[in-house]
Amino acid sequence: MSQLRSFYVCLLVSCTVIAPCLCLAESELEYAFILKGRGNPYWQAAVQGIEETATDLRISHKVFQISSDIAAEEQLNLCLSVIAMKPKMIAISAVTPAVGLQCMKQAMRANVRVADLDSNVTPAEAASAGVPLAFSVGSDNYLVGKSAADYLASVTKTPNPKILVLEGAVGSVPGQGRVRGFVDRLRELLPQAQQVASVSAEWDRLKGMNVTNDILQREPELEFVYAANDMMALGAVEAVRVAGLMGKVQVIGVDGTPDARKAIEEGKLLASVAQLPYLIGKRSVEKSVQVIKGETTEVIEKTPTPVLHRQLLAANTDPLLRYVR
Amino acid sequence: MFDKLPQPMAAAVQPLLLLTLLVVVFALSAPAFLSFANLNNVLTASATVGLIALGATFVIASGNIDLSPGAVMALSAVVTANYAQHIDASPVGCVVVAGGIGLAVGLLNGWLISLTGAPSFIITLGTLSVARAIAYIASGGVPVYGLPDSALIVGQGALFGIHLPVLILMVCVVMSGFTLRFTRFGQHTLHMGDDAKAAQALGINLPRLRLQIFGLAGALAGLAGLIFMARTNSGDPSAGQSYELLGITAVILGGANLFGGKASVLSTFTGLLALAVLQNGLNLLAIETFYQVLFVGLVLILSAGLRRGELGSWR
Repeated sequence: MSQLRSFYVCLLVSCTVIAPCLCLAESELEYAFILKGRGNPYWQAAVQGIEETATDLRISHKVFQISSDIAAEEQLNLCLSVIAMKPKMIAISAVTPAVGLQCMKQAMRANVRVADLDSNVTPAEAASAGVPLAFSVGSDNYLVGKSAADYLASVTKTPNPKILVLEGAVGSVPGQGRVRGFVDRLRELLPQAQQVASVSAEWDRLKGMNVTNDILQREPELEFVYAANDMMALGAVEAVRVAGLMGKVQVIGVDGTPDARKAIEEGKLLASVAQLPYLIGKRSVEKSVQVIKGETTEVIEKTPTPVLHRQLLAANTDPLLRYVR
Repeated sequence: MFDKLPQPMAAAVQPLLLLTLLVVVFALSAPAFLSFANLNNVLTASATVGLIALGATFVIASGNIDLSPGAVMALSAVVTANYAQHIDASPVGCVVVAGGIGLAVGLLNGWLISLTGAPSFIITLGTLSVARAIAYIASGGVPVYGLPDSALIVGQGALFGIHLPVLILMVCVVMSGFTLRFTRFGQHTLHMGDDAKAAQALGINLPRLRLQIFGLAGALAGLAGLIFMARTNSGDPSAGQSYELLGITAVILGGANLFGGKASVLSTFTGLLALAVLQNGLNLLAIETFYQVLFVGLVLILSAGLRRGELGSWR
């Protein structure tokens, strides 16, 4: 009897919870977009770009996300589930190139067209794995790093500034690109610049603050912090503020998130290289529709990465600013 | 099938009812759910967590907790990927290396617990960090990509249309079920979890038994790392984060007593399937990730609530 009672309680609760979901289930899916972790504002902006554009174009679509930006197997499992729904097109922002290619290969076998979202799998990598990529849209992380170095070189008052570099999570491909681009360009523009440390703060605000704090103890003459994302940059800003060094130590971030833009307007953060995820989401939808309609579309599309600084935001005349979310 | 009737079957009834309920709900709501390809996917997706859950069944049955399997999985994936790239990419060689790495860490866990007398929770928390750190150091923090095809067979091959990870999981389920139920080792494990002092009084060599239990759990975690590596074509040092908690969730959903003495492989497997079906069904319905996490939590709480007092209690 108790088992039967348990069963009925399970049934009642499950139906109560799952029933609303059933109403949301659509019978036919044409376009699927598989992104990374929902908790990241970057991906929230990309989802907004996808949703708004898909609604405008009136296509049957779904956005799928995983629990974190590093959950490789979870993304592969999700991809296989999406393929079972037989969409016409899957655009994926892969956790790693290997997982992206695995997903794409499986999709190809099911006659589903595939595309790369956010430059995680290059067309060359896909081609060498025998996957014809419909398109690849996203920003170039190496160029992002170079843009940050260009801006730093344009504002520094000394030829040999002391610079701290905050890297992303260990092993992150986008993080490595952002740091490499910055370091390479800096070497060209300011060969005498002193990189006092280049350490991972794991994309985390608190860790960004702690690392900056530690380095400031050792290097009180620090002039710049370059952080590979805005979360770490804002952590560094806090450390600088607590140390009473606002104005003396300048921080540059990457992503152009709402928090970072606010900090730039308040004069706390020097600049942020915007990645425009909203535009990436928007273009991925538009290009997917072109592919399925048989229209031609550029295979590789690099989205712009404007450097957001106080003057630019105050003037508000740059047309790209409408894509900054 | 593996357990003496009717007690183990009775233990599996509730997770089985939950599983049935989920299957019915998703079959009605998601058209693709019952396709062969999707069911194959459900089982394939369960393979890595499933192997960890099998190990956790023995560990929990003995009254211990192992927090290291996710990190062991990552270490095994990184080392095996390097081995496959530079030394030998044969499936057998990869299985031996991956299983060997896991076995070594598992034995270390068992030995350290006996040596220090510290709770398994603390020791395995330490080896979790050590194994994860070695995985990062060995890979330089960068996933090892581009493995030879032969090293990927274990994760991407199929037999009669069934993915190899599924077959490996099924073989391990059968062997684990038999071992826990019908061998002296399995009975001693349950005795140890039920009352360690009494088990010792009966002449059971607890340190040796602990070595065997943690060694087995480690080897299964190592094998899970191999499957992860072969499925994703990469030795990723960040692999398997929180997988140990998923494994423990499956064991608890299956009705094991968290404080030892009661566990069944059949029930764990049913709990594992319930988790996998829930995840897959919610994916097919395109339910947002945050709600998926919520559903898993609700199902676990509901399951625990319905079995009040059976899962172990502080009172």
